[in-house]
Amino acid sequence: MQALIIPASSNTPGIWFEPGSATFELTGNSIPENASEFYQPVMGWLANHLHLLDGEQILRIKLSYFNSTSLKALYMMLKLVKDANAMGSNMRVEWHIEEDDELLMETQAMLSEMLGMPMEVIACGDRGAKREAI
Amino acid sequence: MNQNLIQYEGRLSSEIRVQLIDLLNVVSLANMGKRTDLKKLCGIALELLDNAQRYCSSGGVNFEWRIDGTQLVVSITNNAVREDAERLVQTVNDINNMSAEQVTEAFRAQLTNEEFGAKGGAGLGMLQIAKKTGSRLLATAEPASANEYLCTSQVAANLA
Repeated sequence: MQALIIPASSNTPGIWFEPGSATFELTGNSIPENASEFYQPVMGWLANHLHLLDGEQILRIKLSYFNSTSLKALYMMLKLVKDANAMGSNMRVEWHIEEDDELLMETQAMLSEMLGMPMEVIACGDRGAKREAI
Repeated sequence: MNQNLIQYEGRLSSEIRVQLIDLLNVVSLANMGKRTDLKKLCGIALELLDNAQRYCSSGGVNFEWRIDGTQLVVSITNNAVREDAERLVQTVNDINNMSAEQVTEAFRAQLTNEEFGAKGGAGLGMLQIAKKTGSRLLATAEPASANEYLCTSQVAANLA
């Protein structure tokens, strides 16, 4: 199974989908002018590979900033994960958010509620990370 | 008090957009303490810049970020073809006629339709701004030439 690795740029996130590690990461900022185009290969990879993954997998979202087009792409990605989980896959979503970032907390909670999909929030701050179940 | 914090006039590229947002973060940090406010206001600017870059038909943009009394005003002016200009004004008029609940409902419907426009837009930017600020948006389009309109989008948000 091929990995999908896209280095971060000033306006697009780093994508690290390496099946062997069982951990899939999106890191950085996501503010491309055309998120549909940027996320196309990411969604394609998920659609083609999620059902092939064995055992528990973690999708780790570490995005500090994203625009509204990226939000729609994220919603579509998470829906793919939810649908795959309903068919027997086992991918857990971890969302890393800085402790005082209320806007991102609200956005994550909204997506979780809209998708009917539990996600784990890892609150990060100066005093280290703490886990918060949603 | 009317204080112009940032003004940019010129071409808009992805790199300039990123640099403007970085600059807004720095300027805002010096003017407001709460992270949520800072992120919200930079988010507004980012959505306006996204729209302007996506629909700008020729020339550059004029972007302003200023404090006007107790409000932070973000505005952007760019050229757009008639169809895009009319859609911008119509969208903003529609949003201004919605209640807060209707804005939230429209935002959720748009988020879940899994469709992007021909130029990559998600149809969420103005709804997102209205949802975040709860304030009226302003959009005007004046004829600039036979095929182009000069569009201005403006948002005023109360400073905490």
